[in-house]
Amino acid sequence: MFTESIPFLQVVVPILPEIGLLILLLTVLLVDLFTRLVRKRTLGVVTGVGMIVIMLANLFVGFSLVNDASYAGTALGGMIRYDMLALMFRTMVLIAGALTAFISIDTPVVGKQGEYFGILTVATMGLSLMSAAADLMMVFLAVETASISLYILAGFLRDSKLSTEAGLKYYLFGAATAGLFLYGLSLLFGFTGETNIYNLAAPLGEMFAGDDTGAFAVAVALLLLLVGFGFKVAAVPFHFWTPDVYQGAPTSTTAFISTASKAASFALLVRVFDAVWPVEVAVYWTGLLAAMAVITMTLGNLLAIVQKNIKRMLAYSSIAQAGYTLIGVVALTETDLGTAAVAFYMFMYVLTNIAAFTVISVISNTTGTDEIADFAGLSRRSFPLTLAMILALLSLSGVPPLAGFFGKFFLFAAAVDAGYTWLAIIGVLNAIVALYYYLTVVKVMFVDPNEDTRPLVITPAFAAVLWISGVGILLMGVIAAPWWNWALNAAQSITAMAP
Amino acid sequence: MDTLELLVWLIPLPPLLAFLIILLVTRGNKLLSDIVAVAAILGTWGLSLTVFFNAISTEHLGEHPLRAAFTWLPLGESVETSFQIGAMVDPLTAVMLFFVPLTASMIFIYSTGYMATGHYWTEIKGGHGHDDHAGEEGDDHGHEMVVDSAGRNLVRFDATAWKARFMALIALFASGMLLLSVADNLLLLFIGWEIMGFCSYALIGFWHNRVYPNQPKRITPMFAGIKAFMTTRVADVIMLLGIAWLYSYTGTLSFREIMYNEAMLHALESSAFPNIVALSTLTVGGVIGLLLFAGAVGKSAQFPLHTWLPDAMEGPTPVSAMIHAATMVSAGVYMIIRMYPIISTGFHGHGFTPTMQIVAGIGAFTALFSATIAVAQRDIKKVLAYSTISQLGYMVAAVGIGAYVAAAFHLMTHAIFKALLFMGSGSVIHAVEHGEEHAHHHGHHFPIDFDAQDMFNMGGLWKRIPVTAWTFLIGGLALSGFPLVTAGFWSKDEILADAFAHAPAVFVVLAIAAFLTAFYTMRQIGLTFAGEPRTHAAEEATQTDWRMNLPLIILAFFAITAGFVGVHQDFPVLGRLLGENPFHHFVGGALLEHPETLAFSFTPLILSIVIALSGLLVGWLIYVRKPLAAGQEDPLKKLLGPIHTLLENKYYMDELYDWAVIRPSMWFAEKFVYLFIDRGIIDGILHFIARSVEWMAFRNKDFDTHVINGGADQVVEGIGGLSDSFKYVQSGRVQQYLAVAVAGLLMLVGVFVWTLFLR
Amino acid sequence: MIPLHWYLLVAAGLFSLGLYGVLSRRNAVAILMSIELMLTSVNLNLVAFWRYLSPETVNGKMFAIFVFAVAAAEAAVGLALIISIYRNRQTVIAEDINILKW
Repeated sequence: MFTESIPFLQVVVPILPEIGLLILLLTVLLVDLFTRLVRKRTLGVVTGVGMIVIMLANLFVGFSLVNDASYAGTALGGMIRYDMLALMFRTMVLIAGALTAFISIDTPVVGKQGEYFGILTVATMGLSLMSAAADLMMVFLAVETASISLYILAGFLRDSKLSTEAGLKYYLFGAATAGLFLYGLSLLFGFTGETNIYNLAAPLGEMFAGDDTGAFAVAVALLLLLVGFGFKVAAVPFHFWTPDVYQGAPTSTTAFISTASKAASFALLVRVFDAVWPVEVAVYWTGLLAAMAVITMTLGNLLAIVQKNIKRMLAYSSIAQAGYTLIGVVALTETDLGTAAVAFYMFMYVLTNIAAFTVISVISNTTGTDEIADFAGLSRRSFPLTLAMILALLSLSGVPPLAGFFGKFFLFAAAVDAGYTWLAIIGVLNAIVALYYYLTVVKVMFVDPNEDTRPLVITPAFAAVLWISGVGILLMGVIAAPWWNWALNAAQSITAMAP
Repeated sequence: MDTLELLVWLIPLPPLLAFLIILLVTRGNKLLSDIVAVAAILGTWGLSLTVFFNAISTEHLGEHPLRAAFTWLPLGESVETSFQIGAMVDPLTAVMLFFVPLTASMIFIYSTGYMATGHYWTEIKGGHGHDDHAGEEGDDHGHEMVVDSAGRNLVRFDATAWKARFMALIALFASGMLLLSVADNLLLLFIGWEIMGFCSYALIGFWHNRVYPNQPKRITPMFAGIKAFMTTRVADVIMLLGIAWLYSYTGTLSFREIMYNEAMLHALESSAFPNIVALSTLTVGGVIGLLLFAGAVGKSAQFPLHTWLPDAMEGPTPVSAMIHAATMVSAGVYMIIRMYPIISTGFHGHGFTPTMQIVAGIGAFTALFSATIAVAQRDIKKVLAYSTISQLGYMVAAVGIGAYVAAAFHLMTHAIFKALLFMGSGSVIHAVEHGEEHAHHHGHHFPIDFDAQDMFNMGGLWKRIPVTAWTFLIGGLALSGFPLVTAGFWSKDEILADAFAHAPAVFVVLAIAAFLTAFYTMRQIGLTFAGEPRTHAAEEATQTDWRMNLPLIILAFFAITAGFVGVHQDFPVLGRLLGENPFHHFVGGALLEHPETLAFSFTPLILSIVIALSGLLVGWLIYVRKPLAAGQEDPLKKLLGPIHTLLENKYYMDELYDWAVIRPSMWFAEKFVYLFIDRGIIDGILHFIARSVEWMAFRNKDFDTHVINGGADQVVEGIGGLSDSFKYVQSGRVQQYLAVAVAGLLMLVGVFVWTLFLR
Repeated sequence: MIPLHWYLLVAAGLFSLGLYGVLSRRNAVAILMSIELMLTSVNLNLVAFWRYLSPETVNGKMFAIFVFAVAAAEAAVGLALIISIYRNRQTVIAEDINILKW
């Protein structure tokens, strides 16, 4: 490999996306400084294209270096771990960031603000670091970099009551849970004297196997960690911010929070659970997590049914999706299929949800609201939008041959493989319930009458996002195998020995 | 995989892309949509021909087919256990690649012309002229409103309004058929099969707002579409059962791994129901074969699931050509030819298995049964529809008696000449519709229920539309099996010769059907083209669109020549001249067990020539020598009496189904499932849960208004009530959220510690 | 020398006070201050652990410094959000900010 001969590259390659994003951030700020207001859409194009370039460069370099599951490199004194899992989730985050930038271009107010794209870039950087973090310090820094940027993005519309409220609620809930999370981190550091997460499992396991006080202390620390993760992935009972923030935030921000943030959080979650949680504890926490998964998906689905606002409905749907994904996390102690299923699911979820929120953006640009009723008669107003929305909804509900079907298939298969057949059955039942509210939207689009004949403008940026995500949804479904192999490699790479 | 194998994958792609491009980009522009669709199918034709010529020049293609597969669905952690899908070209697929893109291309070109003009009647609800398809293309069509005898308000509707959508759908249809043809496993085949199922539904019901004035009882396109979809669905479910059984028994669905694998075929010979003595003669392969055959019964419209096909004539004529020639019905026969080793499990060249007897029996019966119905039809397309069912019966019967090569041969020639006939009939209908409009302008008045498809409204069209007439004659002669110069003769003769040698009973039935075929074909030609025009519409009929004439001429050429590839090598003079029956040798290599080459025999040959000619002669005597005058009744009516009524009403099969199947199931759905199970049991349980939850925890004012105003009478509202009660936990107050979260954390700690102390 | 667990108890107490404040104070600014209190207790934890358990490394010190920095950034963003809410609603009472619900 060419990187071995050049020490400089060994330092640069593992943080290539971050370096790229930093350069992009400066570029965006400069572009913002030197463009007049009428030409501000350049900002979004620069951001989006820049992130795609970074993603492709990272993939290119990555695949020439990390060519199988057994490779793992570290950088910055063990802060960053560079393996297939990091590569895969960074790709997701960058795709989500790029598509969000494109959606933002034509989202009112935010599309013309250089700060929006700058902060979006910083958030992407934080999420990218989360995908690769291997040290408690880096975990904390990455999570906070992403979170603080997202608080601003959620409350970005200063003159909107909904957006500011969303921002503040997100902030208060996030900061408080971050406090709990951080307290857990400090305890872990105290118990072991280590900050590298790959060195934690052994001493923690020893302590847990010892006397009851020690076991209790470890349990509390680990559960405090769970609060932080629960907040990030929107799992019950740490999900409460989700509907309010999704509904209030600008639609492009919602798209970003629901996809990139969730994906990166799951990357961190599986890495920490696989590496940190001692095997001795596994028996106890898998049960808790399984219960959490069941409650999360059931509550999410039940509450989604009664929603009238499409963004709020997708928020509850997003909670339910987190519940499904937790099934994979439950399974990962037994089998690599669990992690792989999580990775695959998140990849398809990024594409699918972005597609759905893009359609919502187009429609709310015309109507000014986000009610499900706005979708009435969409099939007669704009066929491409209808098609994109159907693709997204059917993929979310898991209808073959779309990506979502295989996502659920792999999750449930992993659960069965790990001996959690009952969990898979509950998952399937939930998917049936979910089908109802997804299809309700389809019904509204086709059946309900609508006198509104204002044109729905699909700008080139929206069209690009719809094409990319739509083709992705189909591709991941029709040809699932390459993606699944990638996910399997990523899963096996978590525990690969670093050189 | 090298380039050629990659090409095989690419074959279904252009029409699929055309479908997407038309729907997403060019749907507002009819001309552009036409160009996209035609370009796509011509591209596919080019690809197919490249592959086809490479395939026929490959030695032993049967042993080494062109194949490109990849891992599709990973099952477990290794590649070996995963499900592979791929594309494959073996001799049988090569045959499909010859005629499917050919006929499809012709149909596409024809469609661009056929869908360019025309009107039909549509009903306006509520009496005001509001069009519920605002935003779609379409010109002004609300000029005059009439009220028909059933009291409906009708206006003329522009039949070309949705042309772009039509082109998109037939492109998808073609793509489905090509996917099915190149599939190397049953699952991919089934996917193509279902794509076609959907498209046939959408296309048969394409003019979904069409109604027939003064004929409120006549089936409308919308219901014909639903009927086709539902009927084939019944069959598909049974077929899916067969696929599932096959997969669980063999662990694979790949054609090669099952059909070209001695051990696998041998394993399929074990008894399917060893514990049930009466059924112990059925092998596993036999039962799976029967289940799969059920799929073909639906798709290829065999008795008793044939009723959808004549009604499918409600679709635009190119669709009929598509369904009856190039694609859907061929798919059923293709599938059973493909599955022949399973259907004939345990056959080995002697002693028909029960499965084969059933297949042969149904095929032969259908061939005769629908030929008799075709004799008494008035509608030019209905005649062809029943003739299609009858010809498919031939092929099915051929598979049943082990003559699958002959079936494949007839499948090919029939696809070509039946596409020709359908497009010819479409051309005739168009000409008569044009004539009607012309005559209308010249002051002739027509009743609003004038039917341009009724052959008794035609006559004398020979001089008005010569191109159509000549090509229709060629197609008709091919259908009747006119000796030596038509493709249909050679393929039908091969089936008859096989039947004569192996199954005399089947031969007799098929021979009678062949006589009837020749007769009704001549009747159709006579009624349509011969004599003097019987209406003003026929008098002024015109048809000059080159887009409709060109495909007819090209297909007519193939309707004559396509048969020469399958002439028996011992046939006097021609056999030697045409190269020792290349078709038989080529297709015969597709399977592990090569089919025997039948010794040449003059008896069935002469019999089939005599039968065809005598049928044509009788038809000529009745309908051409003495052409019908305007208003004259069908001479058959006098001849056959009540039997004619029976035939005209298709043995009352539709009425029988309505009485025996549809009404009872409607009753069951309404009274039992909906009222008893749905509203009684399920709703009851859900309401009980919802109310219990309410009583237990969340009793407050908001909640009361949302759930107790009950009367919810659907399953969903039961769940809705449950969700309504939970949603109030989301109070909007961030500190309450945090409190619940912290409480949740404490609970988790509690549970954890509790389990900890149990250790 | 003061035993380690004294520091830990102080930190835990501080943390609990902060958490109680987050849950009970009505004013958003006060909630923000309570969050800062939680972060401070974490710092106390980190420094104490470092000093007593692994003084030879710099891990704990570094961690604490990062927490300071992040806490400052967080406070800045929090105050900005509170100001923008105040401009829209003329209130910073957390439980009154509840348009988004159900």
